[in-house]
Amino acid sequence: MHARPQRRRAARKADLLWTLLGLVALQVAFLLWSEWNAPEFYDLEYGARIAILHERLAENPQRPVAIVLGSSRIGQAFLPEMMPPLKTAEGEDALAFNFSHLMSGPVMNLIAWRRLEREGVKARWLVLELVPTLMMGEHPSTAAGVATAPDLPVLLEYFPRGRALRTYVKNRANPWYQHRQALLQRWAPALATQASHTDLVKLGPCGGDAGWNLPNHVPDEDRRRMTARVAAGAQFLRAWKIDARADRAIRTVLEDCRRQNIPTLLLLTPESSELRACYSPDSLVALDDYCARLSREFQAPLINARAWLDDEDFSDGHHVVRRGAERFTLRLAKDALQPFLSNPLQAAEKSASGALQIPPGIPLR
Amino acid sequence: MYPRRGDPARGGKDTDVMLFCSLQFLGFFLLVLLAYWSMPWRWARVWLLLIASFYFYATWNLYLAALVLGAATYNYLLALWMGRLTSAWARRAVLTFGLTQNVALLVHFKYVNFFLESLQSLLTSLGFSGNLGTLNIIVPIGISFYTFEAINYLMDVYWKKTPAERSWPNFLLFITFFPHLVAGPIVRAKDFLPQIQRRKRWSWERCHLGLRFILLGLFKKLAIADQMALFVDPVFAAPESFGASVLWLAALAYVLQVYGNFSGYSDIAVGTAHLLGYKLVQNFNMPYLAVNIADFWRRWHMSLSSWLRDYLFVPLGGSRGGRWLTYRNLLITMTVCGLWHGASWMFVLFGLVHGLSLIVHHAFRGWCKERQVVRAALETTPGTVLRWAFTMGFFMLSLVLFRAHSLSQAGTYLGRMFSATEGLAPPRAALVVLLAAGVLAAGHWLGYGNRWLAWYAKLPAPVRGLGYACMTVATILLMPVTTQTFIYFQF
Repeated sequence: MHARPQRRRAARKADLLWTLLGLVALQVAFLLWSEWNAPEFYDLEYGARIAILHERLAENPQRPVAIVLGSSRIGQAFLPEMMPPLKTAEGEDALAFNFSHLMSGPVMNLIAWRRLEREGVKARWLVLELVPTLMMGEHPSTAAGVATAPDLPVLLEYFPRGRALRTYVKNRANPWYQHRQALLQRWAPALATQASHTDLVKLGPCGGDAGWNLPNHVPDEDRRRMTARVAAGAQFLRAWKIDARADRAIRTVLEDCRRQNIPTLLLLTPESSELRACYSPDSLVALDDYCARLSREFQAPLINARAWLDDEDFSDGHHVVRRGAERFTLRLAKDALQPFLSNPLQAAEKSASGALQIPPGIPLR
Repeated sequence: MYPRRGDPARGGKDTDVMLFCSLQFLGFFLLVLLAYWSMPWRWARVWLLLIASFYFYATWNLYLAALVLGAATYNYLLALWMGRLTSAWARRAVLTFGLTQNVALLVHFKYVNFFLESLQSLLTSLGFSGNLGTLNIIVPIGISFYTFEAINYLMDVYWKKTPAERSWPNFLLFITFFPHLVAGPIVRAKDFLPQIQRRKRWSWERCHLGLRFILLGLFKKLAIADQMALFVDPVFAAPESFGASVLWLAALAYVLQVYGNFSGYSDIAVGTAHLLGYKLVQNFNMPYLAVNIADFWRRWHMSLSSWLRDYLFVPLGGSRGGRWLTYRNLLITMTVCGLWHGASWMFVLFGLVHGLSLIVHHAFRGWCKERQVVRAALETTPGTVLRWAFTMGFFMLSLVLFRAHSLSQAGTYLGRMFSATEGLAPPRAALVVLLAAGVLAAGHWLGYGNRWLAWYAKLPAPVRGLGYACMTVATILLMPVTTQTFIYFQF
């Protein structure tokens, strides 16, 4: 007598249970797929840059590539699109590509380097930015916020596991919801209601900023205010000291390059006079000694461009405006990149002897 | 005089009530659900729902939540008084008084500025230079719905179709029950009040049914309606910039949007009520399968159309007084229907147009009765398809009046639809609109004659479960970055 209602109840309970299991299964399946096949879902900037880099490489697979790794400083300051053509010693046309990333310090640079390896990108040269603030330590949530499963070994090796994993897992609470627009952009762009990552992250054909973050001009008052804020937050530079994890990450990249015969150029990007004043004499000595040691150990020329630009070339003391980016790019191309690409060994020797510390007359400190 | 929307000092917030598709509502509802089924006492559950409903409305505006309670209490007392009277004329007097008060409340909040502005336009056109001004009023969300429920309750008590409810909390719950409070369905007292008294036990079947309604509602609202809005809004904002094909597509998109939005809301309301052990009336019955305009109004916003039939059309005389009286009653009823939607001449025009179409249908039906050949031809498959196409085409064009802000905008829109004009590219790919139309068509086809039930029953539970999971994921995937409010909140 009660069999039919009981069967119906059981069927409804089964439906609800299977729906829940189905949802979990779909979430897990999507997670697993996206971790290895769609890193751009978690890292918009990386997705945009790698897509453009692949386009350039597809145009001419034999063309040698100089990869530039670094933070938003070099991200805004280096505009490869406006450089004159770079020639190698053999007379080949080289491609310089800006593969920087917001807030990228030594560990995130290592992650980017590993990602390039996984993508099959073979750099002929590497330009590695050294950012003094980030060399004192990176926040784990920055890297964990953009990392995917293949990045986990580096993430967990270099950051406290608990903190890194918490951010990593939190980013995966509801993947279908979080990445719905990115998924639609990939598989059904007509249904997407948000711009794609390549539209949101506006970059030029060689990774230079094409209107994404680089301002054309900042009023003096704003510049002064933002610079003062940055300088106030950078008082820890008075006691600059290399962080052990950062040192290990830098050395890992340089070791990799040495093993693969990839000449590397070390670059200290421009800072305004207000920011340069934040360093105490002792911290400057420590920074210079460390950079010089790295340069010698790995035969990597060191370019100290910290004083290359005027204060008006900056928006906040360490990020440039367009004029600053143009000045920096042209100077880097002429005085560092071209000599480096033509003859990396000579450039390294010059650097070791101090002959590549430019402009002449401006001391390191 | 009244709290301005967005004035926190006076209980106002610059937002709508909690949207059914928001995380805020999810959190609120889960708490209510948990507390509700944890309580074994009926009276406690009633009070819990009352508090929850008040909170639901008060998150938007505290003072207007108090207005809802006040208006409901007022009607409760009136009905009790009417129920105690034995004299027919006294009962009629109380009813008239009650109806007048309810209509006055509705007119004051919703229509007084409309009438003042219209009067001002008229006086200006006649040469008067004075300024009547307008009142600083915000329209309480849901006032059209709960006022109509109060009216139908008073009339049912008067006609003795339902006894006057003695329990004040029960009556309050009938009016303020949050699933239907702000956008319907319009509930009848004789359907809802007995449910409060019934003992409720947790039921997995009911839970399953409720969740199914909610899922379907969310899909219609988020994946269909909100996607269509992204096509509709830019085109209706500047119809003079677009060519005929885009205007037709946008009109089609609006047909899909308004159905997805409103029936989606109704489904969520029905599903939410089921989870609390209450059954609300269905508001839509596959309206886009209608083959004539009368059939359409029997399927579209059924709680409103049946309300208008029972409490306006029939008391006016219905179709009992001969042809011309029937036509008059149809015209009045549909004009009120249009006006109910909002204080604008465009809504009045919408109602008028539908009233006229019902008259034409009535007349044509009468004409066909004497012509068997025509009648037979219209009932063949091609004939039915033709009638369906005509009905849908008419509804689509009438929605242009519904959506347009002014007669001139509607005129521009309709004029350009029927001329060989070119214009800007569509704001989104036409494929999106056609896909949505295809999905809704498939849904209607499956629903027709409950076709889907036969297949559904044969599927094993894992397949059904996976199907629901896929539908949930599809809803999440297709929801736009910014979701829209519910269209019928403004009514």
